[in-house]
Amino acid sequence: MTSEVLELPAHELDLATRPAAIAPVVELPESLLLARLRRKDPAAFEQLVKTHQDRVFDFCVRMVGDREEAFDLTQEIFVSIHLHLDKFRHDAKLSTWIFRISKNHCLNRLKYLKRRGRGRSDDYGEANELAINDSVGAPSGPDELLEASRERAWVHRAIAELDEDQRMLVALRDIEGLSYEEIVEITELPEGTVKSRLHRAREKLVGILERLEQQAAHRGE
Amino acid sequence: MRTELSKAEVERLFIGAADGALEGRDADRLEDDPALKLKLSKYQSALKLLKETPKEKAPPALASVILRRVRRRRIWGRNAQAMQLQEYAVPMQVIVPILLGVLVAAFLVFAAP
Repeated sequence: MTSEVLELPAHELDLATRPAAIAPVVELPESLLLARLRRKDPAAFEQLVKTHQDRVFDFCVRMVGDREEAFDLTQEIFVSIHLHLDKFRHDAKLSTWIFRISKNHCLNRLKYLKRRGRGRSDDYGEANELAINDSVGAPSGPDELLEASRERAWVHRAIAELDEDQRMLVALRDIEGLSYEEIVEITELPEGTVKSRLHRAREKLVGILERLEQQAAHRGE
Repeated sequence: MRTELSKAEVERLFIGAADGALEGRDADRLEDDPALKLKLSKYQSALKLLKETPKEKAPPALASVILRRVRRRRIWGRNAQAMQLQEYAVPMQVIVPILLGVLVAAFLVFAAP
């Protein structure tokens, strides 16, 4: 863990609903972007960050279940990408390579957090759920919105209860919507293993969601 | 007669259903087995919930923080390279006496009868 991570005050972390502070850049085709990245063009790297930061951040939040950790982790991932751009095999897809680096960083961070006895925010506490609900749009009153918000919180909690590998597969396939070929490349697992682990993860998820629903019904929510 | 599906068969069936590639005979099988059909419906509801979960957006400050770190690393890298070169550079205190020595030696060689 480097001490170089730039910390931001909490209010800046919750700016997801505000308009972006940085002007959007015109997207280049991947081959052109890669050529410019190989020439170490800072503008190309800036575009890479802006194009992929949301997906990487989302993946990190699913994996570590903590927005602050995900914020640090996403920084580490892009710094690592910048450092290892020369090692990128040009027959691979850039997004797959980025997810592969992200997966490795997330698993390492989870190991570190486990050793340290969890992250900065509570395990998967109410505060974190609230932050997540805020970032994706809090319910503005009507029952359907409240229901949607509750379902969102259940999904986050259920994902957090999965094993790391199961969480990773669910995040890659069911949330990020990657193909099996891409997941095989990212995880370095055979397709059959990916499918059967994914199936087990989904079954476990169904069980957790059922349990959460029953608990809510029991509390009279 | 309906036979109980093995774990592997259930897995193949559910994965196929989730990917929208359920074969005709599997669909028939589901019709014959209400318990399995119910299980699949719960499985698909959970999947729907996952897919409909709104994506987390990166905080707007994130890109600028990353770019600042990368820029700092690049500058630091250049400085480190310059320092490394300085470390290996031969100091003037060594170069001047050597040059003088070479000149004197050359003079002595050429001046010798």
